[in-house]
Amino acid sequence: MDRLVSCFIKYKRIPVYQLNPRSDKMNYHVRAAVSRRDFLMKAGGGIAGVALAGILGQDEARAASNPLLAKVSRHKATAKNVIFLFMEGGPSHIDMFDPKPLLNELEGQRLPSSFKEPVTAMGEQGSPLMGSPRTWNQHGESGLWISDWCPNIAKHADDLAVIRSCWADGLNHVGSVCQMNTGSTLGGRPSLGAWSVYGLGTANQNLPGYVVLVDNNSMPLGGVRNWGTGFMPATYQGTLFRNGPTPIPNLYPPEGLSDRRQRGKLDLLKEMNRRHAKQNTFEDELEARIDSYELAYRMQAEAPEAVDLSLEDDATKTLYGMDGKSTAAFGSQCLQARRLVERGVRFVQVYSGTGSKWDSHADHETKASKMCESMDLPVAGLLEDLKRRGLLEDTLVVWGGEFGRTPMSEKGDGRDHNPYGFTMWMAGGGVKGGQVIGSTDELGLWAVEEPCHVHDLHASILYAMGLDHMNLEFKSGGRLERPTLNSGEVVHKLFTG
Amino acid sequence: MRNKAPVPYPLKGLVICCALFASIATLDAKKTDDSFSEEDQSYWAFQAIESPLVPETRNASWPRNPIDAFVLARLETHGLQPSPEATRQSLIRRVSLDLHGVPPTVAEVDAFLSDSSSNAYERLIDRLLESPRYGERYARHWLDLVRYADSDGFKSDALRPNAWRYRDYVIESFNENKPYARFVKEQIAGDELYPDSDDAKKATGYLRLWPYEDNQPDMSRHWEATLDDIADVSGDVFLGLSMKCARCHDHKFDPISQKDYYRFRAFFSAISPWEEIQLNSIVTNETYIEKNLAWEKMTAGIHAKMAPIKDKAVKTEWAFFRKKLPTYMQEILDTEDRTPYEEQLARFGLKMLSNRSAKTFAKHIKGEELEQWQELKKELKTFDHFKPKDLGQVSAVRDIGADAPRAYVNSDRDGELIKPGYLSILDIADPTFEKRQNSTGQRAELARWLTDGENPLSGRVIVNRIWQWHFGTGIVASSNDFGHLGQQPTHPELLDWLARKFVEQDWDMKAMHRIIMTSSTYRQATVPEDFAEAEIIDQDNHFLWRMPVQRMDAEQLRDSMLFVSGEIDGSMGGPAVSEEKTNRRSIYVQNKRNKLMTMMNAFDTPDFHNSCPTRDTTTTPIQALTLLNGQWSITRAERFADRVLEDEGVSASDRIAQAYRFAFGRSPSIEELESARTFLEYAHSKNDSRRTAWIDLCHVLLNTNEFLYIN
Repeated sequence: MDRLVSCFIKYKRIPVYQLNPRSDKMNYHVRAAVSRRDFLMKAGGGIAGVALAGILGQDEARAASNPLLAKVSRHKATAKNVIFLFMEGGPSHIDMFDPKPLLNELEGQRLPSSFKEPVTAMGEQGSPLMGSPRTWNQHGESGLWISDWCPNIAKHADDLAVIRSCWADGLNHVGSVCQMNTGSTLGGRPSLGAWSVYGLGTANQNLPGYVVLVDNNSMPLGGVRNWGTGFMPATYQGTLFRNGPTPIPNLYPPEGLSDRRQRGKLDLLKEMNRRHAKQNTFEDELEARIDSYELAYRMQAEAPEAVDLSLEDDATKTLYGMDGKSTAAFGSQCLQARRLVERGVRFVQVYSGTGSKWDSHADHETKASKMCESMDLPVAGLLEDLKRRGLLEDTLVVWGGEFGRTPMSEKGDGRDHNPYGFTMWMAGGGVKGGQVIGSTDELGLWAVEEPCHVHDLHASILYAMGLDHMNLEFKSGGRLERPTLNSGEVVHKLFTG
Repeated sequence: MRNKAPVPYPLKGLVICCALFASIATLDAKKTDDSFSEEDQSYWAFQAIESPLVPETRNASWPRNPIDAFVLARLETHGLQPSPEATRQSLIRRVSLDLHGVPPTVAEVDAFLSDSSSNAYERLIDRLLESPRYGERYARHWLDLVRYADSDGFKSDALRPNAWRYRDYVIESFNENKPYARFVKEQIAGDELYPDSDDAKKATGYLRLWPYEDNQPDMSRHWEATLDDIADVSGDVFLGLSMKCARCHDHKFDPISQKDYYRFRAFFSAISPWEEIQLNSIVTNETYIEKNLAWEKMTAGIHAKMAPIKDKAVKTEWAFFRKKLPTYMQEILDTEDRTPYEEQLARFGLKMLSNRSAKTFAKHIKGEELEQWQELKKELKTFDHFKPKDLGQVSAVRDIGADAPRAYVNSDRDGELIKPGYLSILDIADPTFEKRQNSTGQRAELARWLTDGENPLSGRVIVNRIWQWHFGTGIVASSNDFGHLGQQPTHPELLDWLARKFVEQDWDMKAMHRIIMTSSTYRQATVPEDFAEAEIIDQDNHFLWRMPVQRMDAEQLRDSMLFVSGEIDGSMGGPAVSEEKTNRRSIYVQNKRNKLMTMMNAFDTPDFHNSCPTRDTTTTPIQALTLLNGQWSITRAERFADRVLEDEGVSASDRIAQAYRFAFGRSPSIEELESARTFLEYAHSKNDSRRTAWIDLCHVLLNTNEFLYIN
């Protein structure tokens, strides 16, 4: 034992919760701790470091027994929940939030040589520039420029902090969607939502802490890895709610299996498991598993109400565009997102154009305007609804795609992928609205002022939730992993203006 | 926020390198051992494997073999007692699930319980080790480590039609008890060391297991990331060292410099993916040759007509593809005069093209030609049944030539050149390579260094894994990381004794299983009668005063449910099959990187992107919902119930007893019998059909902790 202890003393950087020498992978069903020391040896995840010891109160024993129980933040959080509106396929920043008059002047010409030539996915670096036929106006007291593709979002201009200088590493959809979710273009890392639930636990034990919603029957490109946990345990992964009346897989018993039978089975199961546990007294994991069946049973009772949109009144549904043909699909998912954060779900991701529908390599005008139409009203409705209910203060709304689009044309009337400069915006959750952060060059190709990498975005989202991206650590394969790959800085301007 | 503009591709060095560590100076300017601190040089994992003396113990009767002596000595030092031996019922269930991944049959349990010979247990272990089920179980552990999957990952997540050859190779290697040294050599350098061996050809599939994006025009970047991935996983698997940190800076905690990382990576620098490597056994197979020749002859006319149409379309596709590429790739592809590195990228690019064209060139065939093309295709199809089914090909790698591409620190091609080299802390010598005709010999040298018996890590790492596969936790709990950030060994002398023994016995895996499983340590009960004191001294059972309880992993669970329901299909080998369509063992179920199997994913299958040394064991309501409401689980219960109800004229009590024996390998107690009877009678009183009641009962048994946990 001395040897073990001495190694810990020597390497102080190892977070205290990882000190259990027999569990390189942490123990996820730890028994309720009996003392502070015991807790520190056993706590199954959460904020790393000795600091934890100082900020924990009497709930520590409770927290120790369940890795998903809500935990305490390091600095004061400005947001309790996140709704990430993911425009999958890449929305065109230069047609929505980042006006470029020069683009229209140079229409039809090659990219001037004063601009650095990028590598693009479809090799369109040499194609003629394509102007933007949008009408641009300033909105709100802040005077944010927003195009006629987003007339309803424009009404909330003063709530938006628009980051025009985003940039990312991927060229293609799958790598870029993966990076926007996990920080890396390569698979195998936990998603931002998983890090959040790992760091903060969930506030509602009867619902998953991290939910992914889609607006059609496709899957986001790259599939499950976008809300997966990579090297972390599955406990923290996102749950994909399917489109349709039974969003949570296996939530209900199969048809014909009555509640009486289900309860009877659960009772016998409990009896057998109790008897078994009595003979295996020191396996707390067995107790945790007994509880998990009861929790599953409670989920059966609570979850259906959470996802039942018919409980909303007509005015609310209209607000989200649920009565419009083009807006109904995304609108219902946005409303769903609100119901979930209301019930304590920590991280909700809503895909618009699931399956890369925002990708407009050809006929950009028709495609992108259709996507904007389907998205604009529901997003405005969500902001409005959150505000009315007093939820916007605690809910960080993030809007954007995996990248933007090029000023160069593709196939005459399309736009290629642009990871070098694009726009994302945030609202609520402590964000100071009505401001623009950073800029792209005069054609909207490269981020030039205050460039904001995906890691900076992630660091900022975590910051809003009270988490420090450099102190949120998980040990995997002998390496302390952090959500933004040890990179990225918080964009404090988002919160201070 | 970062105050610099985005960096264009290809990335000149990794700009996203950890800012935190950016200020650390490079520690090894020249390759000498004096640049390491005394502490690093004396770190236990880097010392030669010792031959520790087997300790004396006060209790002389308990130890059956030296393992027990080491374990007991530790226990005695801490005032602990070992637990008594587990019951025979527990033992046979434990060893069957351990070695085969499924519980024993009722007949096997009965035979073992009634075998009064003194070596009944030893013979049980031997029997289990000789069965091919052993390879199917233990290959899974290895496949986790090397992140084996049946698909590419990334956007298209295309299936890898030949990947299963590697999987079957691993299963066969375990079953044949291939010496571990040979197993390692075949995977790292089979093409260089054993060019004529089919096993070696399949084995080098190890170097093809990385995720692959067939739509990535920036090939230099993708290729560098691929080499990083191969180096990281190889360090994890063969050296038990997590070296990833040293990609961007000298390792903060272990004596691995950034240069050492790129030296290690450079052993792999000459490889290039190779398709359609022909297996001898198939080529020399007469039926295959005859069949293939005949087919070629029959279809020659059709192929001759198809060729010009196809060539034209491929050319069009090629022009389209070329246009998408960044300038540097276009230049490389346009010239014949390429450096080895350019040749590597060109091959990588052409692989992408052939993947694409196979999928997409047909769209360039138009008009009259299209009609003709479709006619010809139809005609060709009518000859399909004459074609040999198994083409006997594998996808693996070969070196690009006898000269390796230049390798650079941080893959910065404007930066410092680097040559392949061992980790400096272990060996400061510069390796020498025996060049082959078309191969650098670099990997052969790496394989030799890993398996020469002197490498302090190779032996320790693998015996520690074997230990972990039996006990759930290794002597070093962090089995992929023997460095400072990993865990320290709980029984360092035992670890060395095992490693020494293993190397001396010619890296014999089954001998290791045998000595571990026949030890008194392994045979202990999980629940001793009196443990109050032990729990105070060593609550977490570091010193093994009892056998740890283990939860089934996803494959054990799925296979065991199919086994108990009597449905399991024991056929071995061949292409992967989709989960919905098969009752075969889970190791043959198709693992797509983007679509993880739902039931199994809920029970913590890894993500198949990273090397996974230890499965997580989480407990979630999603698991409960999956087993309770999921159709797959309910169907198993139905089959299980049918099996229990099969025989006529059997009393309900006997049927309950039979169900217990199927599921748990034991008969129910009177109390258990009573509660099952009550359950059935209640169902009857509510007018549930007899079968429904039995399905419900069987379903409950499959959901119990006793089923899921191994005592």
